[in-house]
Parts: sequence; C-alpha cells; structure tokens
Amino acid sequence: MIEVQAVFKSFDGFKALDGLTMTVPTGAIYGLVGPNGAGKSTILRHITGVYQQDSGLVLVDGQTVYENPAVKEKIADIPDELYYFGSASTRDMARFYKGVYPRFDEKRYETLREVFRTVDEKRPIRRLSKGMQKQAAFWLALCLRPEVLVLDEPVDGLDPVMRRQVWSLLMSDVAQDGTTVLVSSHNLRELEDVCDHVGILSHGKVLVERSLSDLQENLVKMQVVFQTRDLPELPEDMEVLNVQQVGRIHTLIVRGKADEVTNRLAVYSPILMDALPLTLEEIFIYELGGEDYAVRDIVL
Amino acid sequence: MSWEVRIMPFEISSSEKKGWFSLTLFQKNWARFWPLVVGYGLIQFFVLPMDLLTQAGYSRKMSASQLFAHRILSATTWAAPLGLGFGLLVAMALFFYLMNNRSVGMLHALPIRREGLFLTNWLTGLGFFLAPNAVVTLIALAVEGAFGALQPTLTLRWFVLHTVVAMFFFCFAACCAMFTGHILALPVFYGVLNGLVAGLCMLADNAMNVLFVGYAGSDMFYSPLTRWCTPLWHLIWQIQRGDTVEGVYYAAAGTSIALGYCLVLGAVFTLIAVIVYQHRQLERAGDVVTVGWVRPVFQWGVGICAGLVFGTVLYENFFRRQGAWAFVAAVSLCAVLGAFVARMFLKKTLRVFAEGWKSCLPVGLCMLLLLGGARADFFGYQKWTPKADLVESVYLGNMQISPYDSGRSGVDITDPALIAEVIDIHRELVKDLDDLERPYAGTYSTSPEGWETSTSTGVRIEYAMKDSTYESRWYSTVPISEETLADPDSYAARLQALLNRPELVKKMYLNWMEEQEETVVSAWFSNARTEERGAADLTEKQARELWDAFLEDLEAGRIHRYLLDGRERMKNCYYTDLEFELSLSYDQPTGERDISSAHMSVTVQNSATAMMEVLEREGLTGLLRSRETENIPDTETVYPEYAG
Repeated sequence: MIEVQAVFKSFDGFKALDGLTMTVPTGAIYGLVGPNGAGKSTILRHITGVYQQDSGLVLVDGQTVYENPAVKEKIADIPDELYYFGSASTRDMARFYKGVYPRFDEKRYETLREVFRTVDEKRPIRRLSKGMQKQAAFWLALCLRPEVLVLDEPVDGLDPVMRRQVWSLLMSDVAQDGTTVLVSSHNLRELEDVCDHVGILSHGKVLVERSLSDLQENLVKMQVVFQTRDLPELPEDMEVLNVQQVGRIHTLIVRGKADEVTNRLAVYSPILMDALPLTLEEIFIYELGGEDYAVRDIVL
Repeated sequence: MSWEVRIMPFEISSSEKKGWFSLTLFQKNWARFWPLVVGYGLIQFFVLPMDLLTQAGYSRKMSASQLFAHRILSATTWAAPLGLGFGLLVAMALFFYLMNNRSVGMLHALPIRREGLFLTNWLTGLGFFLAPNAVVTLIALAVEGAFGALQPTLTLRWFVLHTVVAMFFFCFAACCAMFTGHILALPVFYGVLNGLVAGLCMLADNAMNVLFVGYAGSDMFYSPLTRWCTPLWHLIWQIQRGDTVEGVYYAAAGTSIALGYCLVLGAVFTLIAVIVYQHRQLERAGDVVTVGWVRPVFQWGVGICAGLVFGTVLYENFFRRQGAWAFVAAVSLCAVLGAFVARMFLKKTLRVFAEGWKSCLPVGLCMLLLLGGARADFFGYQKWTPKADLVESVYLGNMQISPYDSGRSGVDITDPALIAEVIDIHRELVKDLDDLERPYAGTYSTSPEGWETSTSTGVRIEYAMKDSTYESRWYSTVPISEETLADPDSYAARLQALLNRPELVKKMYLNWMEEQEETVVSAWFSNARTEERGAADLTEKQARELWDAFLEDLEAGRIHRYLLDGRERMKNCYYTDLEFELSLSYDQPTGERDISSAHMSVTVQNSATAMMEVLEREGLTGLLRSRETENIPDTETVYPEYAG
C-alpha cells in the first residue's frame, strides 16, 4: 500500500505539492489524473524516493521510501522521460538491473522477449524509436517483479496493439502477484478501462480520491425535458455542477447518486428524464470545474 | 518491555545494511568510462617508462642509475598538472548524472543510498587512477631492470604521489560537483576555486594600490597561506622543492608535505561532498548552484570579483586620468552588473532586472562604501605616520638619487634622532595627498639642448616597529623642484639634507661591504653617460690614493647626493666616474678566510676636495669631463615645467 500524508514540496517558493494526501491500496491500479502542473510527476518522484518532501510522509508498506533501499527494491518506475546509460542496450540494462535489484527475474526477461520481439535488445536504447524505448522500459520494469509499479504517462508513444498488450501484462501481474500500480496519464478513456481507483490532483492537492465506481456513482448526468421550456428553480441543496440546454432538453451534471437525483427531479413532473453514467473524462472536467479549470466555450 | 525490544535500537536492520555500495554500478562505471582510464594510462606511460626508454643511453656524463633517478624525479613533477586535469575529467564523468533531471531520476530511484552512490563513484575514481598508475609503475620497473638500474624507491614514490595527487584533485572536483547542477559550471567552479585566493590577493593588491596613496604593495600573493589555498601552485612548489640539509641536497624534499596536504585536504573535501550530497535537492539538477545558502554567496562573490576585475580593466584603459574615484565608480558599477549576471545564471533567465535589483544593488553599494571609504581614508591608512618611540629602525629606499654611481642604495636608519626626522618628513609628505598624486609633466630641462630630468622621485619608507611588525609606504611621485629644494622647511629640502648626512652617504656607498676588508686592486675612469671605459688605466698607487681620498671625503661629508638632477648637481658633478676594482676578504662561519672581488663606481665631484687634490697632483684633471660646460649654458635658462 502506498500512503502519502500531507506532503508539502516547494521549488523556489512555488508550492508544487500543497499538503497532498492519497492512499493507493495494495493490488490496486490507481490512476492519477490532473491538469498540467498539478503535481503528478512530482508526487511520483517522491513515491519512487527521488525527491525528499519538505514535510509530510511518503510510505510504501508502512516504511518511508526516501533513502530506503529495502523499499526501493520493491518499486519499479517508468518515468515520462526515460534515461538509460549512454550506449546501453536493453540487454545491458537488464544485466545492470539484475545486479542492482535482487528480485530481477531472468526467466521473465526471456519470456517477455516474445512479447517485445520488435525491440532489438542489442541496440542502444537511445537509438531506438520513442515507442520502442517505451517497450524496452516496460520489458525491464516487468522483469523487476515489483510490488509497486509507478508509471508516468506510460503508454505515450505505444501503438494501440502494444498498449493493449502492455495493459494486459500489467493486469495479469496485478491479478497474479497483487502488484500495486500507480499510473499518471492524461489519457482518461484508457485509464477508465484499466483503473479501479482514481485520484484527481489540482494545485498540489488531491481533490477527489475514490474507486472508479464510487466516483461514477457520485456524479450523474441527467437529461430532462420539463413541462416548461425554461429550467425550473431547483432546490438550493442540489449541487448542480453544469447545465446545458439544447431545445427543450436540459442536460444537468448533478452531484449525488442517480436514483436520489432522479427522485428529487421527479417532483417537477418532467416529460422525459434519463440518468446517464459519466465517463472519467467528464468526471475530471466537472470536478475540476470548481477549481477554476472548467472547459470554457471559446469561439475564435 | 522484552529483551528483544530493548536491544532493537542497537541492531542494524537488513534495510540499513543495504545500498552502501554497488558493485554493479562500480563495474558499469568502468564499462562506461574506460577510455578515460586508457587515456590517463597512456599519458602516464609516456611520462615515465617511455621517457626512461628513450633517454637511456643518451647521457655520457651520468650512469644509467643516475639518469633514471633524474628522469623519475622529473616525471614526478607531472603529478600536479596531470592530476588537475584528470581529477576534473573523472569527476565530471562520474557525477554527470547529478546534472540532468532524467539521470538523477534513474540513478536515485535505484535501491542504493546517496552515500552508496557517492562511495561507489569515489572508489571508481580511486580505481581509475590506481590501476593505470600501478601498471605504468610495473612497466617502469621492468624498464629499469632491463637496463640494470632499478630505482624501486623513487618509482614507488612516483606511483604514490601521482595517485594521491590525482585523487586529491578528484575529491576537490567531486566536492565542487555537489554544489552545482550544471556540467559546464563544474569546470568553471573548479578552476576558479583552484586559484581564487591567489586571484583575490592580486585584485585586492591592485585595488589598494589605486586607492591608497603610499600603498607599498603586500606580499599577500606570495605568502605561504595564499600558496596553501592555491592547490596547483602549492603542489607544484612542494613537489619541485629541493632542500639542502647539512650540506646534502635532497631533490623533491617537499614530497611528504605534498602527500600530507593531499590526504588531509582530500579527506576534508570528501567529507564536505558527502554532507552536501546527503542534503542535496535533486530537483536542482540543471541549476548553476544547488545549495540554498550558497546561492547568495555566489551572487555576491561573482559581483565582487567581476567588479574588481572589470572595474580595473575599465579604469586602466579608459579612466586612469580621472583618478581613484573613477576606479571606485567603475568597480561599483561592474559589481552591480556582475551580481545581475550571477542572478541570470541562478534564475536561468535574462529578465532579472525588475525582480533582482533589491539583491544586486547592495553589492555595488557595499563596494562603493568600502572602496570609497578606503579612498576617503576612513581607515586612516594614508595619513598614518608612526610615533617615533615605537620605531626600531627605518629604511629609506627606491629613490631617484643623483649622481648615478654606487651610492644610490637605500639606507637603514637606526639613530633615534634621524628616525624622528624621517617621521617628521613623512608627516609633512602626507599632509597634501593630492600633491603626491598630481599628474606631472614629468620632466624639466636643464639645458636648451633638451637634457631632461625627472621632477619627481620615488620614496619607499619601511618602518621596523619595536613590536616586530613592519609598516611600509611607497610614494612613487614625490614632486621635487628647485623651488622646494631652496626652501629649507620643505620636505624635499629636508629629505635631501637628511640623505646628505655623512653617515648616511657612507652607508649608501659602503653598507654592502659590512665587515669585509677591502683592498683596491685597480681603478680607471669611465664616461658616466656612456659608461665607456677611459683610455688610460690608473696605476695601483694612484688607485689606492684615490680610494683613500674618497673615504676621507665620505667621512667629511663632501660627497653629495641630489634628489633633483638639476643645476646644482650639474655644477658639482663631472661626467666622469672613477671605477674601483676591489678585493674583499672576510671570515667564513667555519673560520676560514675567503676572498671575493667587487666593483664600485664613484662620480667625481668638485666638492670632494681630497679626491680632486689627488687628481690634480697626479695630473689627471684633464681627463675629467665637466657637465657644466657640456650642458649648462651661460644664460640662465632653466625650465621648471611640471604642471603643479
């Protein structure tokens, strides 16, 4: 389990993390989403033990990560910007990791060769294409048999087939070994398919952190046609995040469970009413709307 | 509480044992940077074994053993420059990962502690120097053995010295690497810090020379402390230093000091590096300075150094005529600009003027206050003169005294009355500091033909105080004119009068002889202007008589010294010098009598009546050439032209 408790981090006076608190349960695939500059990569670098927080706690299995080799042995990470030694090939790096990580699994390296067969393992990684470099990174990371896998924009650059292949491998590791996966990505549609937990970051804080199903249950998209053309005055305690009107159809994004909201709107005797689930992208957009990050209708 | 629980704090958990060293990373370092090792080893191969091979058999004066010993000692002196270069290169290679965000992320995500990374890299560095030097040493020993001239001690010393010195510079560079996150800043920091103290001494000396009237320079630059703080200089000096102990010459006598210096300072640099690394903020990769408290130090340091360097350049090239205040302004301005440039490096942007002025202007303001205060003599340096009862002795020297014969050396004055007189003259001298700095036309003419002489003299005053300290002042342009010399109360006239006291004139001519007994061997005339030797040599008898007459005139105060090469001196002095060849005998410390020869030149003066009498008696006056007839016209046309 990854626990981050009230972590603060400043860079030259800029608060990159502002009391960030989050919990990633063991065996979960946790999607970390947030706008640019929200602090996603920064918190990942804390979790991999690269950065030291100004204050707060970063724990993996109850132990601090920073300067703790015993914990770091259990963590593998694929950063957004990959780095490997100058002319090192995938095979060279595998040898290196084998010396550094006691859990490195040579058999798995051999097995995964078939999966990543397009990667020339003797060629310097730096001379591979971006997608190939990402494949090499996954190949190596999966051979570490990590208990925690930290991924920053992991499938960026991979073709759709390889994306599916990689996610399938990850999910099988989660299922078989109980690997905890923490993944930061802007590709919300993809996260929606693989993540069971989601945390939304903004301005160095976690705004919302729930299981994806809870998150989807907590917001509902209502399409309603009322008796009158205009939207009637709704109760003050009903938290309507967004209203759109096309013809007589009102689309409301309302915080709350679908059946509760349906019951409350039924009071207005609508002609038509339908509750629809929100996609992760919609949740992201509407949750951040209150953080001054709403999508604006800009006409150029 | 159970027993196990009580002893827990004293146990080292398995996680604490991990990550202090990585053999894999060590091996990887070798695999990545072997060209450095090979390059270093090749150079060392040419420095020692190849040199021995090529030199063997080329010397007919020395045996192979002597030749090899000489060559090995010579090769040992390469330790400092080679160590300086390769220490930096190896540190740059091994700690490059700290300068880049991606590599920092990769290396620090590994299950290795920071101390482990440092130790692994440090040991790699040690191996990089140890291995090639060991191989080269073995080859050198083989070469020596092949020529039957084995020098194991010297060769081993070569090995130890080269390895330790290179490691010292590596530790120094590694320490610098911990303070910066920019790979290009590392060699700059390293280079600057290697010569910072010596450079600051030069800059400070130059600034004081401009600011203080009477500043006599200092030996700061050449002081042992400066040398100790300048590793390259100190090590070259120590390694090349020979010494004679009880009559036996020891080459490279400073080797053990050099080794001690490297080991102690190397350990200190390593310790500092580890501590800084432990606290280093890795997100600062790419920054010029990574340590928070060093950032303002860097800004101020760059500001001050830039101020002194570029301020001096501006002053020397464009504003010298505007005087010391122009220097103060130029330095202050350049200090502000330097601070802004430093801030640009720190902030990684050129747009620092609006936000940075609060931290940059104070740098210039401080320089303005400090240098301006010095110039305005807030420290009382320029007007300082000692109390007579605190002075043990005083030395007067570096004066442009006429005539230009052997009696122009400086004099030590120990008589309290004369010391008081010197202090009085000094006090008079510093009353008008501007007068001592006024730009003079520089010459005045004593004849219409253009025989020009300087209208100023330099004066160096060195006080040896009773508390064993020394204070010196140097006035390079003390104005001297016929008018001031005519006024008996002026410092010029008083200084000339002092210098003409018989005991001082005697010291000027004869002080260097000390306790030696002189015998005149020969004498001849020479042209004082062209220094050509006269046609006729004097007889031994004439020479002895003239020497005795000279000593008599000296005792009687009839040999004069002139601060101004003017009419007075023209009238009294001939263009003819008497050159004496002397034999000096003296007792050695062992009690043996030794003899040496010396030469002395004395300008013939009309006032030296005893000498003139001998010359007339011997019929030699016809050989004298008068200055007066050659240079001074009948009409009174003397041109004091200085722009006072």
